Amino acid sequence: MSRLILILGILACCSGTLHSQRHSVRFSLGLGYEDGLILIRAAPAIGIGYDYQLSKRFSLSANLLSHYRSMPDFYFLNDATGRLIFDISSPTIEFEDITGSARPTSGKGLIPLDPEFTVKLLSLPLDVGLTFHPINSRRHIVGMGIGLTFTYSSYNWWRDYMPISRLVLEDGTVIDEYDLTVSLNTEFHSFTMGFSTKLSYAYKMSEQYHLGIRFGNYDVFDFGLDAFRGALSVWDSSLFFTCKF
Amino acid sequence: MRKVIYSTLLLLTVLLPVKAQHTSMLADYGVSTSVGKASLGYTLSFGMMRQTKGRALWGIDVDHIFNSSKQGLPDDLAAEQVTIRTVEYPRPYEINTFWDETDFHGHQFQAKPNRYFNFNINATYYHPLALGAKIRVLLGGGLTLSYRDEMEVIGLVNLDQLHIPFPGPVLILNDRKVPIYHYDTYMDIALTPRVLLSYELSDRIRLGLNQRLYTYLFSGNVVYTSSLSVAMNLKGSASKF
Repeated sequence: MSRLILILGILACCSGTLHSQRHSVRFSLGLGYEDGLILIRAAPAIGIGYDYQLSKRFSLSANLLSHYRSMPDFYFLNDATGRLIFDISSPTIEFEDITGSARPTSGKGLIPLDPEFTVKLLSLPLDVGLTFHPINSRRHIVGMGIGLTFTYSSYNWWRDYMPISRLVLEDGTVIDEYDLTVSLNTEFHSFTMGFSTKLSYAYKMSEQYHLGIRFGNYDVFDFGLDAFRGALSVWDSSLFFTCKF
Repeated sequence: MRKVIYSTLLLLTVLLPVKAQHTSMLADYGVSTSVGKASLGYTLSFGMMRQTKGRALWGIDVDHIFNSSKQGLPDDLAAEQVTIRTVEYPRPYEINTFWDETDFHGHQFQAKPNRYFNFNINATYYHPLALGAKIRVLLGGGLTLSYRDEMEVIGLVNLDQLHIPFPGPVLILNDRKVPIYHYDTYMDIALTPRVLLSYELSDRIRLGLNQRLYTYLFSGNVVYTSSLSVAMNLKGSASKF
């Protein structure tokens, strides 16, 4: 760590010509992906970042990304429509048989969208790291970044299920059914450490404003343990706008 | 959804270079709650504001709002034998099916299954109420187009008995409660009154406290956010808010 600080200090002192405006704020909007660059239904990812220019070639960067998405549950396709509306499943038993009331209907809002995407995932990675600029000309700047990532995740996923041979409801009704399963919904909330790698290109509209595109990965340390299989690794590709001050 | 993304990006790209002299970029981060849902979460947003001659502001911004809660569930899931895993109650069915919390070091099973997510695109106007040397108070209103994605527990099914034939002899469990979930995904429109208290840190940078109330017209929900904001005047203009 001390070597890293020393190297950063030397770089800051010796390299290139520095512009007086060392600080910049970055706003980004784009698409997020799952590990393996899989694109699932997602809201646009929003990011806010800060850069401190150490030298012409190096800068320190911090970035907060908000990435929310949803996907169908691959464990359960409950009824004839394949839609998971409630979490007691059987090909023959109706919702009313178990709950005693009608199945709630979707369709809220101005434009209802498909509610089949029942797995909800949120990743909020905050990363801090170093960016190297192999190209930093009058109009173009390329960045290659690496950093530590602290990620908050919240998701319901990897639910498993319990096969049931008999249910006895509260009113005494007995349901014998060997195809019946009751899901065991599992809610994850995690805070994990990892690392990020990024590649970016920006066009300098002026000395103060840059408009660019970034491609980044926010990974997790797994230490070689299966224990971390529940942690989420995400990617993003975003357009960003940078203001120097 | 992709049309919305591309339209937003195009709009930002086209508008950003236009007359930056009286334009500011603004970023927000704060807390949020879905009113009546007993939920808590965060909001993250950024946008662009342009100042008129009368020091009113108008602009667009985009934001994420995410809230979660356990409303609809009893306080003590273990005592009520609700079939949701938690850190204190990892085996609601008494047997370990596939895995439990020990397989996920660093993760927690927390019973906050209600999730409310909003991606908002806002058109906003702020009118100056009080203009001091350093401090400004602005009252605003906005129109919001929102992509909303929700899941929540709408009830519990009380089961007197469950017979589990797997993995060995039939296991009979008594008095279990199984949660029923409901899911909704939709577009909505909201009216969004806002109050912005802003403090001039330097010629180009202002800090602010931003209060927003998203009142959704079609779904009838209300979401409140309170956030800290940083605004940067482009080109170091005398634009102040």
